[in-house]
Amino acid sequence: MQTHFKRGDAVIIALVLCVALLLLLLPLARSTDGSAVLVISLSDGSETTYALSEDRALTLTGNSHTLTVVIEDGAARVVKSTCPDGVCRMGAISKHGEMLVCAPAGVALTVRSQGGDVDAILG
Amino acid sequence: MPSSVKSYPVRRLTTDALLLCVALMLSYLEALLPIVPLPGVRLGLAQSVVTVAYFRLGRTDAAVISAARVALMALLFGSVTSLYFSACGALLSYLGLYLGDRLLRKRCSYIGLGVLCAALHNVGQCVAAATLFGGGLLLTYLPALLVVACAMGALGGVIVCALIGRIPAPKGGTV
Repeated sequence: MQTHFKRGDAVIIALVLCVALLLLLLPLARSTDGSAVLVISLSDGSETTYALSEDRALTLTGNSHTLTVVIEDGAARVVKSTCPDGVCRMGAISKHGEMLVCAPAGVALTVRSQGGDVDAILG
Repeated sequence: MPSSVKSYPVRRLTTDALLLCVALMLSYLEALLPIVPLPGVRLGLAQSVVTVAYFRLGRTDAAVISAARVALMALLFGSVTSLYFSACGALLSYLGLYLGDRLLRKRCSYIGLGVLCAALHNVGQCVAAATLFGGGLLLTYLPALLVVACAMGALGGVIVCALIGRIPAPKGGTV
């Protein structure tokens, strides 16, 4: 292995960034309809469903951590959480298949769309 | 590390153990320092240690150091879940080392190798998360993690480039 920056290094970096870009663009091909719902799975195995079309605020607890989830403008996000990570507070989800997860609390938020059997519609 | 390490089992054991300690210390320290405000983002300094071990001590030594580091970090500071995530990341990262050694020796430096290993590490962790929580996770977090992997992997690679010149290669070429 070489010890100075080579062209192959730039190729690798470019490849990784391209993959990242691809992954970012994929969800745009998905279709959403007004029937999108938020499925909340807790660590005890229970699942609750809420419509994304109705604005609301929820408080969830799991493994002694508390999360505040807000559904607003057809999207859900975690506004507050007591977990040390904060991974769950990154981003908002609104499209079929998107997820937010709080690993310490064992809570998973998933968006499901009634018409969402297809991942993408081409042509 | 002299090239005769392999012919002295005790010396090999202690050299590996020393590197394991370094990797462990670095893992612990970088977890303490909030380098980047994003959660789950680490400098990945232990990867540099494993890389140096791979190219100066041997594939097995690097594998052992990596596995032991994962196990000890989980035992000391983590949980079963963190062990699972860490193991998946380290496994793919090691695969990156292997691929880099086999395919990229002439065309890349340790910087590109570092990026490759960091990217694979994050893919490994996202796949682990997907097996636990479902496939949507890959799309939400992986793009950001991959971008960060480029920076952190490159940094680790620069460190390896700077240090590895001072460590003599084993007789008969690298590894």
